Amino acid sequence: MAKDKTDRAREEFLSEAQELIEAMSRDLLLIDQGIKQGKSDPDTLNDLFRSVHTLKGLAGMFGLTNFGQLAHSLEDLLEDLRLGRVALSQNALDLLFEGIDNFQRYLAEAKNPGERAEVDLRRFIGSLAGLSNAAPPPTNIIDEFEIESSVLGVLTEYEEHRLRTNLEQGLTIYRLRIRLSLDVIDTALEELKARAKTVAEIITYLPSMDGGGGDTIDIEVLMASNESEAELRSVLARPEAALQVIERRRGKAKSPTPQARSKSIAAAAETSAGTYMAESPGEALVGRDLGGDQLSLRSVSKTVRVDIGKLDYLMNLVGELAVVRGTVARLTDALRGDTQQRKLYTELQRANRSFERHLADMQAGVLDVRMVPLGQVFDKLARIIRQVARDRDKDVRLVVTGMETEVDKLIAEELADPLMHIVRNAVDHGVESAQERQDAGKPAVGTIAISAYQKGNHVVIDVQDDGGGIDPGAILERAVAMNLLREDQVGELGREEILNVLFLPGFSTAKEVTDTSGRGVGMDVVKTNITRLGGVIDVSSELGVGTKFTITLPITLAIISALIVEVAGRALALPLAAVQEALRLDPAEIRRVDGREMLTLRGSTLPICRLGDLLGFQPPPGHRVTRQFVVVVVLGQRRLGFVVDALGGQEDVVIKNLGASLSNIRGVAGATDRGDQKLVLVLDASGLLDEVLAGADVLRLAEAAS
Amino acid sequence: MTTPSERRSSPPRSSLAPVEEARPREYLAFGLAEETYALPLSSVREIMTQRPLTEVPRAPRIVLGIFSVRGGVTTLVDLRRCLRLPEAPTTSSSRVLLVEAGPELIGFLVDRVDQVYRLVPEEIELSTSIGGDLSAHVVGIGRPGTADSKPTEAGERSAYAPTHYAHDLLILLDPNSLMNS
Repeated sequence: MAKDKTDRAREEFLSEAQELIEAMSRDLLLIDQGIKQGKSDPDTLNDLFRSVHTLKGLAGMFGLTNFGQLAHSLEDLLEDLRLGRVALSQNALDLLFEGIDNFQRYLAEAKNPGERAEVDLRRFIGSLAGLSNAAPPPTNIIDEFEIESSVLGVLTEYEEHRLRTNLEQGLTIYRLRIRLSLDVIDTALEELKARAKTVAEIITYLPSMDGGGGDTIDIEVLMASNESEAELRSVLARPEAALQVIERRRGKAKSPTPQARSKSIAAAAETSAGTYMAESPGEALVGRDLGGDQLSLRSVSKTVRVDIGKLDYLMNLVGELAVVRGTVARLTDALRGDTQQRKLYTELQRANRSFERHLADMQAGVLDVRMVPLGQVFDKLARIIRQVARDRDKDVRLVVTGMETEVDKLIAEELADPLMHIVRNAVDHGVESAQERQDAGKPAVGTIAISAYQKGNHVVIDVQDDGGGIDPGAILERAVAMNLLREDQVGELGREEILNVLFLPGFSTAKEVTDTSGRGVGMDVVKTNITRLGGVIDVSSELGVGTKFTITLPITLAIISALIVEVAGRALALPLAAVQEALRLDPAEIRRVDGREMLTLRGSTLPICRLGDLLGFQPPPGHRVTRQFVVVVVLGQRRLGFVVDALGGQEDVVIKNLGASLSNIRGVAGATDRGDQKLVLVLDASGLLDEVLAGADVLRLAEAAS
Repeated sequence: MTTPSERRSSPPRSSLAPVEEARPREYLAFGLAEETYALPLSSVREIMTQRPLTEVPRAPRIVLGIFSVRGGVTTLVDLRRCLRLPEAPTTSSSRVLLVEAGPELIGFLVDRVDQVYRLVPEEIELSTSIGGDLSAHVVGIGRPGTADSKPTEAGERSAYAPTHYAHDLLILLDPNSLMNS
């Protein structure tokens, strides 16, 4: 942990840059959406501009020249965009998205010194400049309206652009004149802004000189709105304010603006607008101390960025404390029979209970800190979808619900790749071309719906497309061609089983197959990744209607509820999430089918597997078992009973990873310290189930082949 | 502050490298069967007695199991198996060396721990120059006491005590290669 200050500062920069880039990506997607709905959203564009600007500053501090140049050139384009010098077209958006990808590459380069970012910065900057130069001159619609030259004269370029855009979009421009007391001007102005924002866009506000006595000031606000004058009046809730619609030029101007004062302020404003580095550009006028900036500064300082390693460390400490608590409880128990120590015993027990309660709270607290909303992952998906859709010339709409659903940070990170794989496939192969869709009587725009929700101790994520669906015939054909299935087995498979062939390792990624079957690119990898997180993936599909992938994940990896079992004299922990039930084994009920032991459980067949044999445990000498139990484990649609020697009850355990040298052991998820100095293995129940049941398939295939 | 003339006048061997190399390196010697092995002391984090062990199914053969060290999970490796020596039961003198072996902290089970030796380069024969059929884990042979540097107390005793023949020869192991077997 001995890092010098520069290292830490650099790390800080990298993670801040990452956050900024993600925020930019989000803003871009919002803008993209806005354009599609025919709305312009100046605030988002401003946010984007600010992010790029901050990034530029950071890059400069750390001497990352390429990074800085990229930020600088994007900043120029964004400046042109927000000032309306360049139209916000799809081309411009494409370039901005490309810019973000380039940022990501530079960031990767900065993170891994060995890596070289493949960015043709010169070409990119060239295309940015090309866009800026091709811009048409602005219209002079403003001249058609009754706005005094004294006001127009003090508008910044940005404000003028906003005014023009709003007029072009047919919004009504209002002038509001309001008298504010100087001692509450900050709060009053903020309140006014907040109220106005809901119904209107404030283009500018100017203080005016003839504002009565020494302790009041008149503010003149220019805003654009879709609402009627009456509506605006009621929202502003300022009966004393003078509200007036700015008409098309016909009559003569009213309400003169004092020129001398506004000129000087305007001059100041121009300067600050030109050097707005430190300020929010949209509100550059009137002054910098209206509270908005301080407000945002304060809110920033309320979040702390923490390395996940530190949280793991805390988690470990909590686990250690739990071990200590167990020891104290045992020692306390030892006092129980002692009549002389009864008082001490009672007090110790009380203290221990309190200890336990606080510890549980602490554990929950540490876990809570690790949680992040899934929206972070979904944002990345939105980018991928947009990109693939543009590449394939398809129109795809993304509908996301449940962005706020939280999962452990580690899970969120590991989830990104599999999800990306699924959505990429969905756009690439799932959603048909606009023509095909129309021929099939579907809307031309395809929809990919991602929804997340919590279900008990799990988070469920559905990824659904309304595309062409998966053709089971094509899957079977390919599986037979690849020798994964025999032709006479084909008839035996149900629909679910056929779709699950997608997840078989080795199911081809060959191009001609994916093009006909629709899916299959590395789905086994997706499944492996999900399984590694303790999750389950299922697929359902209907030809012509669409495909749905359902991923079920535990909320956290760090602590799980486990069922402690004993096998051949060893204690083992089985994650309770995978356990359906446990029952006594009646040896008389065991049947052998196809060389495998089976039980009948409530009318359906349950294959069973002797856990000790599966793990190759030798029973210790003299080990005797009088009765055994069956633990029923479920994974998706499949069930398996593990035969164990004893059931030890349910416990919440802190899972610790095995060292790198043992990280690839199949069937073992980790180990946990139960407080008696000896570690207990936590089994990967779903992995074992998979192995046993898939092993059967392999056996069957091997038999068939011989 | 050296002027150019001063620098020219100083002899070339005053560059620090050769001095650094001549400095003795410390090795921890331990016993396995009849032989004495040694690991660089800098790679050994801790010497501990055996802890309750949990067997790991499907682990590589050299792995005896896992045990808990200060809240973490550590792998225990049988160094006898690593070096393809015959198996032997553990005794009261058996110890676990916590060693930085590559990226991971690994516990190695050894029969006994002896002492620390300081070896100067002249006391080390590199395996490349020895040739023959040496294990890939062996970097060389150390012969403490053959150069003018003195071993520590116990080593001195053993060097002059003919019964402790094992101590005139240390088999030096590479901690980073031990897990690649």
